[in-house]
Amino acid sequence: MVRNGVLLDVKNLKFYYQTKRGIVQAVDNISFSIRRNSSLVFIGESGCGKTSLSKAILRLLPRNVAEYSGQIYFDGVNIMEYDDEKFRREIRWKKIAFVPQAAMNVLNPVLKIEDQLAEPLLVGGLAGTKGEALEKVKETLRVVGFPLQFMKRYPFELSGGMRQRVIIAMALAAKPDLVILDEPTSALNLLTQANIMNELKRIKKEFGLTSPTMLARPARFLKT
Amino acid sequence: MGGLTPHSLNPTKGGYRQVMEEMGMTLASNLKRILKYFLVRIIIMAITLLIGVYVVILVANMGGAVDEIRKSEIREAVGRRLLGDENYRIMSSEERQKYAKMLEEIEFKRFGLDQPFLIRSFLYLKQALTLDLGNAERLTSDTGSRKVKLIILERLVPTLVLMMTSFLILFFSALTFALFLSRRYGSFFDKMIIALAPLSAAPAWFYGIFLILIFAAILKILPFGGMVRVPPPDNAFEYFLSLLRHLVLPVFSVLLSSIFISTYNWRTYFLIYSNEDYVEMAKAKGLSSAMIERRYILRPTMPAIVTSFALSLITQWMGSITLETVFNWPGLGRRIYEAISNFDSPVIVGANVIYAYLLATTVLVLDVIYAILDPRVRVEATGGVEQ
Amino acid sequence: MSSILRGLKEVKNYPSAMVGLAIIAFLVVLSIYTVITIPYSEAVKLWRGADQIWIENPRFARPVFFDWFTPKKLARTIIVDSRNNPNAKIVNQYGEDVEIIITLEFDFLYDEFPTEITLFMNKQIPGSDMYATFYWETPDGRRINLRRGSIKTRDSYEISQDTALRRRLGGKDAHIGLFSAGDDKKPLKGKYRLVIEAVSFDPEDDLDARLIVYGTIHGIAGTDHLRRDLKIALFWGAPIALIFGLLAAVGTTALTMLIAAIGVWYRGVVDGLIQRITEVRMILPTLVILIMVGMFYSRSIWVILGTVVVLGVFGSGIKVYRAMFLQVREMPYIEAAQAYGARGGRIVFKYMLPRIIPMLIPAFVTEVPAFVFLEATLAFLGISDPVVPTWGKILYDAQSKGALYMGHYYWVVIPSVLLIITGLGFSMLGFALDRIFNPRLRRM
Repeated sequence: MVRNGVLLDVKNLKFYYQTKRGIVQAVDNISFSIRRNSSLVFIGESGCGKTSLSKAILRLLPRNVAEYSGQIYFDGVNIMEYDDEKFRREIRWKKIAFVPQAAMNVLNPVLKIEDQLAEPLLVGGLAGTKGEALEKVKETLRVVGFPLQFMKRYPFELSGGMRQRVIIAMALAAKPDLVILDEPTSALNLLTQANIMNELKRIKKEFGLTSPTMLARPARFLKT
Repeated sequence: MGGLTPHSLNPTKGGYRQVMEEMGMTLASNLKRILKYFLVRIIIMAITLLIGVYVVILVANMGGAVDEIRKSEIREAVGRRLLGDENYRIMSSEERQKYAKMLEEIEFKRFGLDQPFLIRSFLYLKQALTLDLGNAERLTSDTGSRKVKLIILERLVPTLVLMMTSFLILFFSALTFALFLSRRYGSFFDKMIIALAPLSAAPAWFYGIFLILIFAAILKILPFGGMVRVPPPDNAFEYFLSLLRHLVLPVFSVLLSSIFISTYNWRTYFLIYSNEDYVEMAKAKGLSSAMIERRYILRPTMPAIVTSFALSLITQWMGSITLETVFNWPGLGRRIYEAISNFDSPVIVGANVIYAYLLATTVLVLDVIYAILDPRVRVEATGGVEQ
Repeated sequence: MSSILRGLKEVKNYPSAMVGLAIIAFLVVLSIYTVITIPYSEAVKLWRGADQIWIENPRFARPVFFDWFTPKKLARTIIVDSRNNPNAKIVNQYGEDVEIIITLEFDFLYDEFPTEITLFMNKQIPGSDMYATFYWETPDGRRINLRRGSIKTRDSYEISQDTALRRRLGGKDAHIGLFSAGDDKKPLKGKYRLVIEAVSFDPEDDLDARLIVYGTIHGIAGTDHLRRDLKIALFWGAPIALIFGLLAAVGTTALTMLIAAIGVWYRGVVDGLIQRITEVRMILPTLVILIMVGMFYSRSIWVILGTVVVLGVFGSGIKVYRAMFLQVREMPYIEAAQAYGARGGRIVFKYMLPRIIPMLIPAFVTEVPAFVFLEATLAFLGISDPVVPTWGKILYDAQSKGALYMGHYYWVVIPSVLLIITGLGFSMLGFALDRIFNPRLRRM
């Protein structure tokens, strides 16, 4: 694990899916690499395949996959060759985490926030009990600026901005090597957007993260 | 790859237990909130029941049927009193009639039967709500009583036995199979369920007739009807076995009518719900398929399932009427059939009231279960944040 | 509108839907045929069965097609009438007396015994003294005395019920004893004769006789306990079921939709009231209320239909339509309509309702069998129009007469099969339509 070596190396990634009207080539032979402790920004109009790329890297494939091929080297290992179970256990969330585009419907409506935060840690073996998991999570919550007393709430009791913070905190709690952010602020109002972007910059510094960020509006690029 | 990965036939084997445990934990941690909700719902349900029973009274009294029921009850009571009246015995037939009529009029007034309809109806409402349902015309209870309340309620247990058995088997089988199918969209079993779903067009009693025809009349391996063998076995174990044997065909009839459509509906629900964003998020978080299925598909759909449940139970209450008639099962339903055959009006009116109570209870219980499962409902209804 | 038509065209891609349509087409054809060939008033009269309309039918006869499935020749009903056969009667005048000898001859070539034998007689002069002796002649030359006695004006001699005759036949019922030659399992085939030697003391007197040897099979659907040909009720059951089911489905769906739309549009008190009514309705036991209405008020099929619709309107359907309408109400074109001053009624009818119709179609089709079976359930329990012949009625009769215990399976099976294929026809079509028109299902 070289300190500033290449963390993610994607070669010839293809992800097509089948629709009634034919095959959609969502990700068509993409190659790129990211070094540790850096950010890579993808800018494009909506519908150009940014979200599909995020999902392709995380192997979040829909039912109607037509083609999924290429190589993804993570820390020198081709994780495309992992079977699904190994990928799930070793890569997802612990190595690569994901902050999705719209915070609206991304949280389970019937589970409390604290349960959803603790989940990936418990499942990934990073904490033994819920209490331990929550301790680890509290630090991240502080960083994103989420008031701890809201932890026992349900998602529908939080505003959009709060939810987005939870999601970011959730992604960071397992201390992944790579965080993929998919339009992290497009669903929020401008003021909150600015806040979140500042937080992200701060978090990145504090945690030493590597993150490819998917953005839609070029204006963002300039600020980052 | 893609979607939820295929799994063994019963991945939620521990799943139901875990869902129940989680429900129990939710219940424990939010007890105060849920009790408050329960109280609110009881009050609302009581009002609904009041209005419902009043509607029953109004409908029942078409042509003055309820008036007649009460009046004949009073006439009978007067008649019994007169038998012990010495003056009565020495009167002539004409005098007797006049005397009896006079007493009846006094009693009618006493019970408010001479009041205008609006007032009478509230009187009847009060009686109905307290289950003072009068005396039957022809039927009697097993203990010889003519009280409508007893005649009907003594039959409640057999109906519950049949209903609960078929309901539980139906619920858990359909749910398990629906989860199984939601992971195998387009597979052979999936297509089979879609093909069999239209069988729900026919009610359970209808399949019951066919099953009796095949298994009792032709093959002679199962009984024609009844709850246990006649004469009933005297030791508990054999009684239980006989009960099981008699449950087979009625329960199977219910399954034929309902299981395919239930499985199909819930499999469709699960398919729709597994497209939700939070399900994909759960996958990204590295949760296992079993856990996703349990916490991210099953748990959020539970409220919708509970609602479709309430409807299914209500249908079963109604369906049991004819089903018990076909299978000669000694429950509420068959009692009603006996009342129809004997044209026993008081029992029919009483049955309406009792069923209203049963349905109201069912809906209330399901409301509370819904609240345990869906935090949005109990938070909104009782205002504010949970602790 | 065009999207609806497009959707309907897609139906041909679903084999189950095509089967459903075929069944419905069959039922419609059957209904039209029935209504034309057996007018309703005629059917009612026949089904009431008064005036011995059915007297020439056997009771509990199985359908004729049973004969095709066994090597045995099953017994049909034989009717020999002296009026149709002038040679059967010999009239001799003896002064003041008249002697009438009637010989009713027939061939019995079946492998099964008949179920009943009855002799119907008509005497010319009412009140006269007529005295007769009855004989039975078998193919193997035996002559059996049946009875001796006087004949009333309209007389029927139920030979099978004759206990004295049964004793003389060694304990065998007449319809078996008179046809057997020692072997009780097979009847003796050949020419049989029933001879009546009657004497009347009125010279003008005359006698006619009709012998009915009831068989075991009759008609395309068999007969019931009242000897009625079941095909009357089976055929008429089709148009009744279709009309009842369709009217109830249309009525309920249309009214529910309308009320849901009104509630959503006018909001506030109106919406709240509709919701409360729905909650009260939920705890009312539908079937028991229908029973009560039928028992206390009227069992006319129109009353039942009306009550079913009223009960159905505030049922669970309202919640579904309300949710749909709530979605539609938020649409911008509704706001636009309000902006140009459209009144509530116009918006409801012109904008909200047409959006919902595609989703109504499968619901409506799937509801038809529910209503058909509801009518059958009520009839089965004994609450049905006393005059109208329906499939449920047949099942009620069969159940009360213990058809399954007595082995009269055809009585139960044929109406049941008609009921289930009616149900399946609409149900299969409805399910396919749901997969076509339901937007949430299309996403998969």
